[in-house]
Amino acid sequence: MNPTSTASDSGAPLGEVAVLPGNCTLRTADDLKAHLLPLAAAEGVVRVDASRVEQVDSAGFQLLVALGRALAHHGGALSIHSPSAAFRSAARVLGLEFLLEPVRAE
Amino acid sequence: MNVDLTQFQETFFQECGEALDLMEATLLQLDIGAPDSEMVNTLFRGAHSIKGGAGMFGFAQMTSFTHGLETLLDGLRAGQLSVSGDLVELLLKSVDALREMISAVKGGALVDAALVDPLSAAIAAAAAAPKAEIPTAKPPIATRVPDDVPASPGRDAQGHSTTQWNIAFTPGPALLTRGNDPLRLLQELGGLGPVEVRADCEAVPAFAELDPEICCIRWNVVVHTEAPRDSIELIFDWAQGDCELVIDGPHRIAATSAPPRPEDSQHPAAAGAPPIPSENAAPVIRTEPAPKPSPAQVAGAADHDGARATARDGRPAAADAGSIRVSIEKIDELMNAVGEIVITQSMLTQQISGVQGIAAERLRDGLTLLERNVRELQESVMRVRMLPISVVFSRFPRLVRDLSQRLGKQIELKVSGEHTELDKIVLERIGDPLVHLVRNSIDHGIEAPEIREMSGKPAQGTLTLNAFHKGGSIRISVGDDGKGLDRDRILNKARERGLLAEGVALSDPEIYDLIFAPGLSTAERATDVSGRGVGMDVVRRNIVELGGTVDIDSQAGQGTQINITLPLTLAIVDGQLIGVGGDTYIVPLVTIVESLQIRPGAVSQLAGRGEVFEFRGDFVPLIRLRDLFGSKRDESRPDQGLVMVVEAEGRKVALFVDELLGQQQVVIKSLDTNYRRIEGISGATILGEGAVALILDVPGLIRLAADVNSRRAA
Amino acid sequence: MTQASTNSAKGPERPRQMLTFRLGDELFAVDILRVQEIRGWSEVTRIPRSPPHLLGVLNLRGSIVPIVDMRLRFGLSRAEFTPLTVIIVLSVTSEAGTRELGMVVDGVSDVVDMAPDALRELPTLGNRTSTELIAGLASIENRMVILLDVNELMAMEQSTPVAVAATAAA
Repeated sequence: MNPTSTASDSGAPLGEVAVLPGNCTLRTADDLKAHLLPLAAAEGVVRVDASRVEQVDSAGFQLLVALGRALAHHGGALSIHSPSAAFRSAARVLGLEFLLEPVRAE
Repeated sequence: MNVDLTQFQETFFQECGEALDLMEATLLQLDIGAPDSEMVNTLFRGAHSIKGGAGMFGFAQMTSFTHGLETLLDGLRAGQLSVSGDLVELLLKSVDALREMISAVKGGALVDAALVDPLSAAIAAAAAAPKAEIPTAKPPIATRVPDDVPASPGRDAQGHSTTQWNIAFTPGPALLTRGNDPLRLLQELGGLGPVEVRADCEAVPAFAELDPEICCIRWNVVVHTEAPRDSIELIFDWAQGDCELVIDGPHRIAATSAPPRPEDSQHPAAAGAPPIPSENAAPVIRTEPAPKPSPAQVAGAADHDGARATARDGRPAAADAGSIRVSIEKIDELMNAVGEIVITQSMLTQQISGVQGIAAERLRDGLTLLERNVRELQESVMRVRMLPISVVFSRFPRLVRDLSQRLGKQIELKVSGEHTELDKIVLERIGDPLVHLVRNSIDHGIEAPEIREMSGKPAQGTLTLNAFHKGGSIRISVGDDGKGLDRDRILNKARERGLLAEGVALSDPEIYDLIFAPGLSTAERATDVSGRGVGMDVVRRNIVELGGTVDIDSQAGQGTQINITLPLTLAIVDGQLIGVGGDTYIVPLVTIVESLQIRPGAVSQLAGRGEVFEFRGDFVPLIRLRDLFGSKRDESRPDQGLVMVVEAEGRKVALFVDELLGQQQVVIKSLDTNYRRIEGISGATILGEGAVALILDVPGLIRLAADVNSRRAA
Repeated sequence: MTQASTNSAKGPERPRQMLTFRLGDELFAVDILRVQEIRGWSEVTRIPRSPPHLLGVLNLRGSIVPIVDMRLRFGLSRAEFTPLTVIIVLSVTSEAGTRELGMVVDGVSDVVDMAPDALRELPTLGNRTSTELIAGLASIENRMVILLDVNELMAMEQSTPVAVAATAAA
């Protein structure tokens, strides 16, 4: 499964869109990083769809944290969409709920 | 008079221990919603008899506590109250508290009121809550934090005296790869009480530089819990050494004039929802930051922890009527003495064997009788050391319950074969490995209910514990219907860590076996595959030290079963005597698959990997014991001799031996009493003539052979 | 060596009774309190993959006791076992329990008294003889006697990793 795909058909004015795979854990962290890497250089708001996430752990979240920081570094932001229950509850446990807060493009 | 009273007290403590054990067991079986009235009666009688005894001896704290408990149970018995999960939780906590009180009283002390009073208040509140009013919990903010709202102490522990711990948790570089996911650790912390979690992501490097296997996020956690420091440390137990951990506390935070006043219990409240102290006080919002505790408070807290520790150690063991306690050493002395008699008797039998005449005949008859008697004596002594495995299994219902609750999983524990008996020493030492395996299954094997449902499984997972006799050994299995092991992941990791050469094909059992490798277990833990790496090498070592073996059966998505095979006893083994290079060795009968004459052409050389023997269409590695043991006499006749196929931990090897000598039951003696452990040798025994013969450690030999072969390959 | 001074510091005022035994040209001594029995040579059970000086194990009243060839232990050449060859069984009791070990020596010599002031420190010499098992030197009845360090002897037998033997010739 390819976790990243560019949503050209959505018609959204925003930048890149990525879909997180079902498993975002240490086990898949290397792959996940490789797939998210192109996005780190993106401009503007990067939307990440977390609706399919079934398993996520600290390693998975750390990648998203790093991605968010990279985007913020050049004025962009990370926006996480329709997080699954597993994703939401893990974010809460890890104290990383700020990732779920809505972001506004400049 | 004084002496007599002490004596009665001792009896009382023992009875209390038994009553509490019974209450705990009953509580764990109690059907929520439709409690069995006989069970409720059992609970009531337990509390009642403890109250009576406590009153007689003037243990005021215990008396008043059990009085409240009795009132609550009486309400339950009369059907005025209904059994909820929270109520069971409250009652279990009460049982624990009573255990602590008993052990405190034994030492002439009292349990810290800060621990007991909130519990008493919760009991009173629960007792005062009539059935119909349970939903109208007061205060209006409900008993449980809704799922999508961050846990905050302001809601859950509002307006009450709580104990707060500040925890600074900084993961080390190896934390993740050792399988200690902060997510799980934080989740477990949350199980102790309301938490506030703050993640500090400052140290997370730029995306491109980020090593996904190293966690650079730090956490500061505030936990509100009455649990002692131990409980917090226990959560981080496995992560020790892989993280920096500062546990600051306990800080007492008094928002009201705690302890709760009796009139609090007038307010009908939900039946004792955990955490205990929460809802029977007026809602006062805590506004002050945590005040520094006074030295006295700190000291009090320390005492409280101390009391808990002693409570655990001092927990009275259930004493059977009409039994005596005998140290295991004394039984060993008996065993040794019996062993000596066996040796003397067989020496006599040998000496008389060539003698003719009526007198010699009578002597022989007498010796035969002696032999039988000695055998019976030996078995009786053996039985003294045997205990049912329920002694170990009995701790699991509580463990499974607590852990699954903490992790938000639904798990049913199925136990069978708990009456299977095994040696006391084996029993004592198998407990920890089993706890480890059960924890692993709950923690990583069985998935969260949502995930299970998504994969079409029932939300409730099943954990099975089973024990039964098989041949001369005992089988214990720990099984779950979780997600199973990920064989590809294990293989990759093993290759990465250099445990496995490229291109080597392994069978599934061989792959699963890799998770026991010390080098891999660290990696495996990380995988979250099913997280079975946590100290799996240690688990195996413990089992091997008991002369046992362990193997794994796993299917992706279906679950994992770990099978442990242990000798019934550490004292005796049925052995096959073999001759190797003029020395006599003993092979445990249970490991022998077949002994056969070697056929020409059955042995072939496998390029660089030693020899293999063709056995029932399979090729099994051949070990020439003479070579491995460096035996003196070496008449190399490669195609003559015998091959004995042995099996352990799901792997077979063929042992090349010179001759088969005979079978006999032998008494196992340890080599490391005076010497040390030897690779490939599990112990020694004394044969009839008084000579020493070494007992082969078959699993060890298999590993040894694998080492030699891989060294050869290198 | 510090061991010698420690021993002398601990030593009682009364003379210690020592059992002396021969090993090659040297005379050795052990505290008689450590000696459990002296027995003639008997066949032992070889332990596979063990160092050469460990001859094997023996059954002594139901206990499995390792037997060490002291000549080989001290790097001397192996001697034929004669009727004079004896095994001195040593026993040391600690919190860990009682441990036994038998040592094969060329012959038992005598039981002598050793005055506390007879003990000398071991001169530092770089000769072939290993000094690790020697507690000190003593002059007893005008002869130089080497004091064996029994504790260390036992500790080393219990902890030295088994030499990677396995003459794996395939």
